[in-house]
Amino acid sequence: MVRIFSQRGQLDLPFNWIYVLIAGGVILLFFVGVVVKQKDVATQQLGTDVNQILSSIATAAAAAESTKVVVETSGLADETLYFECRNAQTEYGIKSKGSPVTDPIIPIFAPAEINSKELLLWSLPYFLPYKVTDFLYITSPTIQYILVGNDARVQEFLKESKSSEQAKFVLSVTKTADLASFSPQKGKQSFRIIDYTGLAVQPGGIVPAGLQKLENRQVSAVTFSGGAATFFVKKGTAWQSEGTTILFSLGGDLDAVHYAAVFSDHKDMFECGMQKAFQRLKYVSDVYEKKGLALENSPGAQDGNCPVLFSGLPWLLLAHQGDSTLCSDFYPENCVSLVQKSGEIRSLNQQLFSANCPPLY
Amino acid sequence: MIIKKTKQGQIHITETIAVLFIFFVLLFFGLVFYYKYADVSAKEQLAENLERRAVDSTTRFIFLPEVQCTQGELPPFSYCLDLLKLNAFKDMLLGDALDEYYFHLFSFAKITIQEVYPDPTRSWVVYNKPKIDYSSKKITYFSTALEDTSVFGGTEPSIYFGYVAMEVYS
Amino acid sequence: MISVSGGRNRKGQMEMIGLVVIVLLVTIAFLFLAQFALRDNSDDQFFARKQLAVSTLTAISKTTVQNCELDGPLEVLSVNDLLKDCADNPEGGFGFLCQGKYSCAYLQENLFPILFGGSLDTFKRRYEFVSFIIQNPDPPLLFLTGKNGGCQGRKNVDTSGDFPLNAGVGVIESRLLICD
Repeated sequence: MVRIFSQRGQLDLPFNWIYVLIAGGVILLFFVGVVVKQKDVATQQLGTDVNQILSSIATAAAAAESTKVVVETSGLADETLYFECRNAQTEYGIKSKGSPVTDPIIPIFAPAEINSKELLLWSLPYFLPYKVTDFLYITSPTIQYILVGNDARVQEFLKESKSSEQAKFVLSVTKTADLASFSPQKGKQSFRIIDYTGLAVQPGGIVPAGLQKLENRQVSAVTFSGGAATFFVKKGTAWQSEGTTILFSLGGDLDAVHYAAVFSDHKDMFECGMQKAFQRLKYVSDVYEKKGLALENSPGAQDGNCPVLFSGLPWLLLAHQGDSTLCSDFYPENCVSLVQKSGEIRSLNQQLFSANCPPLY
Repeated sequence: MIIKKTKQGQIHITETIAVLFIFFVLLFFGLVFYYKYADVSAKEQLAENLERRAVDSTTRFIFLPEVQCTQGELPPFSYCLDLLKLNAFKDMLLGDALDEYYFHLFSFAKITIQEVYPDPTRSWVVYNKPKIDYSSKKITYFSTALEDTSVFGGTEPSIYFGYVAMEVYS
Repeated sequence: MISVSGGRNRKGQMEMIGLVVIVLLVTIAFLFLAQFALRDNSDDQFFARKQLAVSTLTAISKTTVQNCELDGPLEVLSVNDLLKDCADNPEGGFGFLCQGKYSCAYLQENLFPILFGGSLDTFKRRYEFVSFIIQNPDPPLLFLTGKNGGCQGRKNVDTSGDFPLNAGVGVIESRLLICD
């Protein structure tokens, strides 16, 4: 009997296992690489999508008066959205990631940073006296707004904090009679005090005890008094004023400028947004000035009392257009006369309506 | 002891090399397929983006305060353009306003308003910023009312019918 | 005698398992790709169709009509006025007279073909317009389809929504459908 021993098994078996390990390892590495890359791409894509959504919403906001929209950003819950405004250009995006969006047109009023699973967007038209543009306010349910005072605007803000069409649109708004004893709601990241008394928040005044332990960037305030707004930031346990700015507005319900001051956590953000609005006013006023001239010479403006009413319109519009240009170039110093001229144009337009003459707007 | 040599090892190695060769060929085809797909997908995405831009631009234009019809203090009319404002806006865009400001809204595009009734011979090219070496273009249309407040019949202006043609380039 | 050590040879089974694994991996890869291929991207198309339907009917309803009379020339008459008159006098005989035709005939034969023809037909769209009295919807007061066809049996049909109008005989509903 001859036994033939083959060493094939000794070579075959280990070689098979080595082959399996190498091939399996390569395939596994490939898929791990794909997954990791996809995750990065997905985050970038989500960031770009959110920016695109914000851009589209800003467009859609112009198509409907007083739009309220909720944008889901749960995929970005670990990221921070930032908003900056400099030289009449708003920049927003994900902090340290992706490509930010720059918008020189739409006045956006938002906190400097938002870290939330949802964004709440609200738009209001700005009139001076005709519609100039839509303001876009961006906030989130993680920001708590604390109202102080008994002004009619307190009730208005409380009413507007919810939407009848969008059940998920809920701003966190609380009214308090005693700011000193206020204690912050759990789960909120930032707190903004809206003081309609002009007394609750003062330069050098003490920050409510319940908010003192928070970081400075988490707490801010604005007071409204005499047609102006004063912005405050927290510095330790005291308030520091960022300065006072006049609210160039004709007032009334749902005043876009008032809410712009409410939702901007810094004076810079507010003033930069207003600068964009006045740039737009320059062009809109130019159009209305030309329309006024065309209307004055139109057949419909020759009947009854119309010629008398129209005689004053062209110079008023020309002056308003000139003031708009000056205000846009030298905001806010040269903007004071705008509100008065706007009031006069509005009054004249109402007279045109009453006299059955073709109105300016 | 007799050790019998066989060629089975050599055959086995050849088999293994063949398998590996097939494996890499399959991988290569897979990668080619993936990149081709990605390329087609990217082109489709560009086309979609252009379409979205066209719709966005048209919506922006129709609701522009510079051209939209108004009703005093009441909310403005939807899908209505004021002809007097349209003419004034067109004239304004012949100056620096287009490049300084409105280009940021509409980019490379051509916006034409065509009247359909009562006078279909009337049209206005309000915004014209063509792109010389464009790779593709897309046109969207929206119907609109055209209000002529200079022709004031009693207490109501005349309202014509037309459409906005928004041509965007990429 | 030559004996080959080892018992049963399981190599075939192992190779079969290997094949199954490869097939599974390839299937997963194709499923991964398929989800992108089958993704529905028609949201923007839907928005554009719907907005076109809404804008067309909104604009048409506001349009003022020229050259109409009612015991003398009229200065201002809107399409809505003609529609109400059509509902109140569907057979004609009295009411507004535009270029020798009563309201329903004028809208069906003259005005709407001009308005829809100059817009939706120019855009090469398929559409259907219908206007009827809610209390008596059949037959409709007015019905038009596009030169490129109507929307019966078509997919991706979007509507302008209902445009109600109060007339003497009841409420008139007008609706525009635009489809692919």
